Amino acid sequence: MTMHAFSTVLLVLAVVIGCWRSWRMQAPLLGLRCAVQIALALALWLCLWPPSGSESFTRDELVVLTPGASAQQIATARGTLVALPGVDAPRTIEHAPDLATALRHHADARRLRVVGGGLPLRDQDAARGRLVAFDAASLPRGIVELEWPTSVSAGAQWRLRGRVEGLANGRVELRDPADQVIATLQPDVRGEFTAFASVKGAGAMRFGLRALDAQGVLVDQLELPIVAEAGTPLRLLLLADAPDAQLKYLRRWAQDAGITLDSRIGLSKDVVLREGSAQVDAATLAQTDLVVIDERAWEQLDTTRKDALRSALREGMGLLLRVTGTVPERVAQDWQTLGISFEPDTATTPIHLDRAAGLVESRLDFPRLPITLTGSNAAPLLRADDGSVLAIRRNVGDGRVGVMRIVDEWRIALAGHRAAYASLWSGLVAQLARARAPSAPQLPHWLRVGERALLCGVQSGDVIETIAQPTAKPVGLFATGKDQCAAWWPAQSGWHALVRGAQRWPLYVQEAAAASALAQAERTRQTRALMAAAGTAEVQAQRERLWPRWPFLLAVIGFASLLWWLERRVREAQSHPRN
Amino acid sequence: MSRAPDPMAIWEVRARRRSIASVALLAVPPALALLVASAHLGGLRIAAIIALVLVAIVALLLWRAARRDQRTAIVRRLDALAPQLEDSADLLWQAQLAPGTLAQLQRARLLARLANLDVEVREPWPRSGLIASALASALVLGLAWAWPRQVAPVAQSVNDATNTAASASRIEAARLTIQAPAYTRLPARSETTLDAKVAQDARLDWDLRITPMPAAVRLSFHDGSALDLQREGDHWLGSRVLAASTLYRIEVEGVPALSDELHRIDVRADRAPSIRVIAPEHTLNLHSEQQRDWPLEFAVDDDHGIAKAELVLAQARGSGEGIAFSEQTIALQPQTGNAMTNATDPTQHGVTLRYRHVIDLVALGFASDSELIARLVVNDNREPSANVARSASLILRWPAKPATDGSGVEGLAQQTLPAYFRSQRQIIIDTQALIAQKPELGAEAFLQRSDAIGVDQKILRLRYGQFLGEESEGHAEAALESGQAAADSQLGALAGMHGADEHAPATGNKADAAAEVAAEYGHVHDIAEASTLLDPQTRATLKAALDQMWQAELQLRQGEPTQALPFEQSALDFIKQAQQATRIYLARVGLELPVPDEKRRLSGERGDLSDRIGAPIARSDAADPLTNLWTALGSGQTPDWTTARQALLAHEGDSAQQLDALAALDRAQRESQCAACRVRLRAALWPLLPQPAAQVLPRPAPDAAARAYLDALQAARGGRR
Repeated sequence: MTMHAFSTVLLVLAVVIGCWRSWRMQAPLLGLRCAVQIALALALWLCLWPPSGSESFTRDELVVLTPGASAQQIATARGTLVALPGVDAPRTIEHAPDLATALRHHADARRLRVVGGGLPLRDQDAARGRLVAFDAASLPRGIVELEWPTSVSAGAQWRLRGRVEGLANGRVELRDPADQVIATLQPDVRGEFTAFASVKGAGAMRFGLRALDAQGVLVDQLELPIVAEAGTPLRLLLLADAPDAQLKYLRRWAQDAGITLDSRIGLSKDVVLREGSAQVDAATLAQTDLVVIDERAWEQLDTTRKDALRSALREGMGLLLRVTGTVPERVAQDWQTLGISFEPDTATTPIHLDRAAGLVESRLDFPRLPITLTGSNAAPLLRADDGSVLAIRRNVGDGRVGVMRIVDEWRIALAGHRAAYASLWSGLVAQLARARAPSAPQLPHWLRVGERALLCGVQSGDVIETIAQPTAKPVGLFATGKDQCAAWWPAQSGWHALVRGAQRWPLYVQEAAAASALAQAERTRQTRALMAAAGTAEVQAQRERLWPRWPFLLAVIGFASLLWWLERRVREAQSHPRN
Repeated sequence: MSRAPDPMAIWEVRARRRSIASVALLAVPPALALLVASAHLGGLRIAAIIALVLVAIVALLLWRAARRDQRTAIVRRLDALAPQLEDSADLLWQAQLAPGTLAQLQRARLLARLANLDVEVREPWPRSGLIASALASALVLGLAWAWPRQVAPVAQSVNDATNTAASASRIEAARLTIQAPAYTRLPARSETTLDAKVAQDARLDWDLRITPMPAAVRLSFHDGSALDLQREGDHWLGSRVLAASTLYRIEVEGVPALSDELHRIDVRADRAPSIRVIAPEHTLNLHSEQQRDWPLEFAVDDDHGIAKAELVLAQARGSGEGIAFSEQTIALQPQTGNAMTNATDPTQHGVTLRYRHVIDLVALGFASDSELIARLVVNDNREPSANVARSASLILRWPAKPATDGSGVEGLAQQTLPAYFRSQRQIIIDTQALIAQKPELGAEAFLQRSDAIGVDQKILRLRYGQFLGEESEGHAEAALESGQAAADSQLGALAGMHGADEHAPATGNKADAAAEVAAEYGHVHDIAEASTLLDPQTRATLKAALDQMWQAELQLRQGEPTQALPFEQSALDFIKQAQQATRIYLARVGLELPVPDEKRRLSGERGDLSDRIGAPIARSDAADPLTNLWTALGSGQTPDWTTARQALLAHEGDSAQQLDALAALDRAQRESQCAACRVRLRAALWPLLPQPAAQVLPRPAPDAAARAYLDALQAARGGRR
């Protein structure tokens, strides 16, 4: 028997017995006394088990103060306040160790209003779907946006793009691994800056970035870890119908980059400049990663060779079509079957590649071929500074075909920008060549001491070694899930390596306090993104709520007093006649 | 009472001794324990201070023990311990009691009983106190011993290691005497450090004192050479002249090694003098009309001094091709100068001298067609070979005559000389003279003379024809005037060149038949520039003149100079018109290749042609040792130190960077556990690494899941088709 039923039975019994005794005593006001007893029992029962009603609620918005909140924001925040760690809030405000705990304490909170710098990564899952407002603090001074590749091929040029906040007339210095300034950048009015730098041989290295204000005072500094990976030795086949300067520089680059290059460059009728076997047949093409051919060489190919190229392309080979002049009708038709077509271009302005190739004010201009490239499902491969597409690629079977309409880009190398020229071609070849690089784990961009890092694509047996401290014990990884992801909490800053047998993937762990401005800006961005996803949060909702007990308690007391008074009068009335 | 030792005095002395000994035994062990503990924990300096304080305290205690009133204590003890003294022991010390009193009697009785008295008047040893003192001392010592010593940070372990090494064998005193080369006039200086910045070719004297005395001391330099120091008394001496920066290490024999620190000597090369031109302000100056002289002023800086300064004056006279040059050299003496020697840093040493010279233009013969070029050449006093610096060339030019420029004229204009066209007038004069002489001459002679004038006319016509790009004919006849007609103009030069080419073989030796053939077919038959030399209008005028000349020649050849005369006149008119157009226009046209004849193309003999096999010169496959070292350091592997060091020594380039890297390499190699040293070496290597060509990282190959997805996608596409 539950408490509920038990108390009900007891009360009913009490009422029945009371009424019966009143009836036995033949007392006056019997009806009234019974009614009051029933009312008292009912009131007592309701006091014990108050009824619940549904109500719409509006007061369950939780205001979460996050690190970075300004004193003014804290002072003006209204509502149910919870401060997360790292907030300098007065003691009157409830402090919670994390958002999930705060939400357990405030179980009715359906909506979150975040004030300050944004939710840390730890709390973002807890806030998902509940966040309705974000009162963001202003971004701190320093570097607040940054894009750079953590992994590039050896010798390649890489691009850095970023934004600084609150540094009018300031400057940003990019430093090489020897801590020498290699570029001094003036951020534009929005604070954005772009720089190019080159890595050298394969290995892990650390570039530095410093933001200085107009007086030259250091405001922010951070480290840019970059891993230069040794390239894969590829096989290229170069077919051209006439020698030119472009081919000379291309062959030079291929030789230096460790690419096995077979070439066949026409010199005259039936006379070619040949390097390697340079045969166009199925067996050779199966071994080749990329074929580079111009429209004149294509015209010279017979049907068998064209078919061999097409089938090899479907099998995964890459094919790069170089347009060096007017494309003959027959060749255009052939290329149409590969999904590449041309349209006349009316623009006549020369092409600039300063931004695309990372040339700093080179003032090099390149002639514009009067065609534009189109292709179904084609993606742009290279764009000029004015945005016009210079090369496109599309997938054909397992392979990729690309077409480029840029001529004379060898002048980049001639003008002294050898690294830029090599990087341009390295990028083109990497996009088009046969997919044959071994799969690598997906490593996070930023790792921080004490912050959870997610490494995906790891295998059992992979360990993390600390390079900065060779005596440290390697950390074993435990991968789970479809993507084979493992979590890791780095304990020490500096270079580490994910080791799988003889393979190593370097990882750089930043100091916990490094790049604080960037971290806060990142939190702000992520919190904004969370808010965008929280469109379904109900603003008004119904819920059950117990009625308050105190009115029933008052009623119990009132009825009990009334009963007492009635009984007293009855007793007096009974005793008086005896006296 | 004889002078036998007074028992009371003996008692006092003995009690005093016991008291002092007790205090000493109580106080000294804890004091010593504190001293040892402080020395152990706080170091000698703190221990010394504490020792002073403790000594003072102990001395004070002892002094108080010695000064304590022993008599009262003895009296108390005697009263307590010796009942036979009847509580009257204090009477023993009261020698001057009045005789006959009770007290005196009692004293006498006591003195008599003293002989048999056997009482220990000294205080007993403070046993519990001594035990407590010993225990406390032991406790202090034990605590001090067990107290955790301050752990030195990891970074200092290197220094500790060197310190401990140095404690075995170290350099007591070092003196490095630097004697810069004499020409620098730098005073000799001494350093007490082993690193220095010195002038190039300075002589360095090392003077080292090392304890304990080694058997031999050697300086081993980074390039592999070594310098054995000579012993003189307890000093080790050696010297060397340094031409390039170097790293060195001191090695000893017979005693434990010294600290393996590398020392660095940076050599500053002698700078070449730098010349600043103060006057004139510009390098190109135009002569003004009243100018009689040309003042020049230079300021010359050098680090060690200037040996000589010479002003080289070159004068060009004349114009066109008739330019004569003359050159003269004037040695200059400095006007003012200050040798700045920085007192704080004797290595900063500099000299600034000023040179002033006024060129007398009149004495020099500077005339209207002259141009004067002045240049200062300065040698510093470096030995054996001086650094030479030359200033910019300062030019004084006579202003050019204002040219009469046509406006709106495109092209490159050049003034030509009209003198060349005179011989048409001569032909007319000759013709008129012939007509005048006609009656006196016979028909035959007249015809001959007329024909001769006709030949002149032809030569003239051909010459003009050349300017229009025409090929000349009649080699033999053209030879006649070729020498005479070479006027001092571009037209003349062009024509003369052609003529000389044409006729050189004619006078040549028969033996050079082959050379003749080559010359015949090798020379330029039509001068491409000549055909575009003149503007179209002038060309038309000249063409008309040629037509008239042709007609005149025709008539002259037929012996009719009278009819030739009008043609000659009109030819002269046309030439006059051509002379008015005193410019030659060089048309700006691009290279226009002729359209190839596709039928003839590639139709020649092709039997010997074959494919060419060729590849670009391969770069050596062996990876760069420095890059290898850099990579190995980054991945925590053990690098190949020997190869890397050799590569670094062989590296050409900035020697400061090279030395930095060598020093870092040495440090990293010696301390294999030093992570910071490896990081430093990597940073030092970075500027020396070659920039490889960008390599290619192709797309990753699809894994099983991706493969299946791609296959399904293609199958679906194929099915739809």
